[in-house]
Amino acid sequence: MVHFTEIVITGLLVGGIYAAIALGWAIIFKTSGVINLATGELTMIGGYTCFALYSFGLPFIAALLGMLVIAILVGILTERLWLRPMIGEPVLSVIMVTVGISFAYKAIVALIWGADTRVFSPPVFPLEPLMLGPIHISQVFLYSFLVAGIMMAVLIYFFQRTRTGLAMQATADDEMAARSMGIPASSVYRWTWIIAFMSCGIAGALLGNINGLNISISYLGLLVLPAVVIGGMNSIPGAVAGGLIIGVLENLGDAYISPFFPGGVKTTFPFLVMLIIMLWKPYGFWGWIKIERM
Amino acid sequence: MEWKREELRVEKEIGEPILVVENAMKAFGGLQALNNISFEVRRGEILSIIGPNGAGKSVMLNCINGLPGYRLDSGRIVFDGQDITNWPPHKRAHIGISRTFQKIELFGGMTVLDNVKLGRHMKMNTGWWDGGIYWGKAVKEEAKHRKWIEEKVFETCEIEIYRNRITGMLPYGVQKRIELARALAMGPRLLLLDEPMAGLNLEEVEDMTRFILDANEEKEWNCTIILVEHDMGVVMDISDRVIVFDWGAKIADGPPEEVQNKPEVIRAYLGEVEETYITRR
Repeated sequence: MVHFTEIVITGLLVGGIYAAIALGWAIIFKTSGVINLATGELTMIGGYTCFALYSFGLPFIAALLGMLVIAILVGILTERLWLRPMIGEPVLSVIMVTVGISFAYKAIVALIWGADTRVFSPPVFPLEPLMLGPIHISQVFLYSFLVAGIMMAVLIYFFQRTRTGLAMQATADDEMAARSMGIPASSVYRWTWIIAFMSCGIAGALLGNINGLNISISYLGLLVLPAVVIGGMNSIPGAVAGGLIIGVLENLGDAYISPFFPGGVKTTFPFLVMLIIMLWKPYGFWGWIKIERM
Repeated sequence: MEWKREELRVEKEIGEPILVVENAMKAFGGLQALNNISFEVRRGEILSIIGPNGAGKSVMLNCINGLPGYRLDSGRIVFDGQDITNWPPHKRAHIGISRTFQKIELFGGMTVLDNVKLGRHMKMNTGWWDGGIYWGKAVKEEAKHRKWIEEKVFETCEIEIYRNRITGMLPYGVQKRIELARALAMGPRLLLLDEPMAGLNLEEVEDMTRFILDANEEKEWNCTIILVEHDMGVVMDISDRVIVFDWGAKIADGPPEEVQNKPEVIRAYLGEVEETYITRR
């Protein structure tokens, strides 16, 4: 039982980081209908810039904040250079553009930092685990969860309670109407990319602390996709919940199924669950179910 | 409809031009959708644009509204003395141009009240902090605007009973009214209506006609209106002036009675035998 509880708690804590990435997926999909296949690269860039700033000798919090500033700049740049010209083009073309962005960013990161695994040194978080009664909790996981949680709370607050957030929701619902009601769509898309970059970037920085950084961190973007799909592609709280679910599923699969089917269960198990849930709830748990009036 | 134009009209003042379109040209590929169109809309009037399908009526409306892809190839659009030809749509909304769509474009996932409130958002000044904690100034401002919406907008368009319903699930005729309400909530000076009567039954058409006249005549609104419409009964009843498009060109411009009897209009739009259509009441 203690083992099980530990697995679930660790899963939830890691899930917090996945949730931040899932938020990045969902917010772009929700406002523009685009599945951003470069999500993993946003995570990677966040991780590496935070690592670079930390290596310069900045305290971790300062490195994190510095990373957020860079994320904002890269977010603005990405939207302006590659996404803005695609406004009004078919969604599929835009998705292909994000594939291009993903390869380009991966190459740039490899060019700057090389392909070797880098670790934060000295380690940012204490290595010895916390003891809650008989349960061990790794401090990296715990603090990462808290940081990701704060970040998401701020972003969700922004999305739901400010007029920029309102403009984003309106654009998500009907871009044409939003435009004719005085909402500048291009600035909405800019904000979307900024938020996605910040959210994924934080996740990248935290993951870098857990496993170290290398290029393959970008594949994590795809591993989080089931979270977004389970939550409902266009629901922000759904994405967060989905992230937590995936974290737990991964850990459960790793602990209880891997012994029988060694190799890769940890990453495939969430996809299997996603398939089953899709059959049962095609819109995910919290997605919009649109019933068209014919 | 049994009413006559004369009974519907009130005495009102028609002022100087508020919108001037000069030599507007717009082509899509090889299709000349607007071919050297010029006209003006005077403050306070209801101007109807009629013409066969594909004549360029909606294109003209979208160009005035400035939707993406609808920038004029050449020519000018001047609103209230400002050249707005190359302005993005959201800037045009801020100076008082508001519209409804031929194919309804409401925020389907939101309630009716939220839809209409969104139309009002430009008039609010609350910053992200006040809006976020929703306290003090923000509450007062929201209450003020909501009261205004309830008293004026809902009253005018008679949608009070639907206020908390999800818009996408309401009947078509009601959605048309909500669209008009949302457009009015922006407090527009120029209202562009793209086929407000399409798909409505006779009773709904009468209601909608009333709402449009209210928007035009009541002190609260005093909107100048450009109406694109196929229902000739309505057009002839409520328009101060009618212009006729055919193949992207303007072929007539004048008071309804005059336009109605122009031979080229009858030929282009109404077909030579279908004279009954134009007198449908």
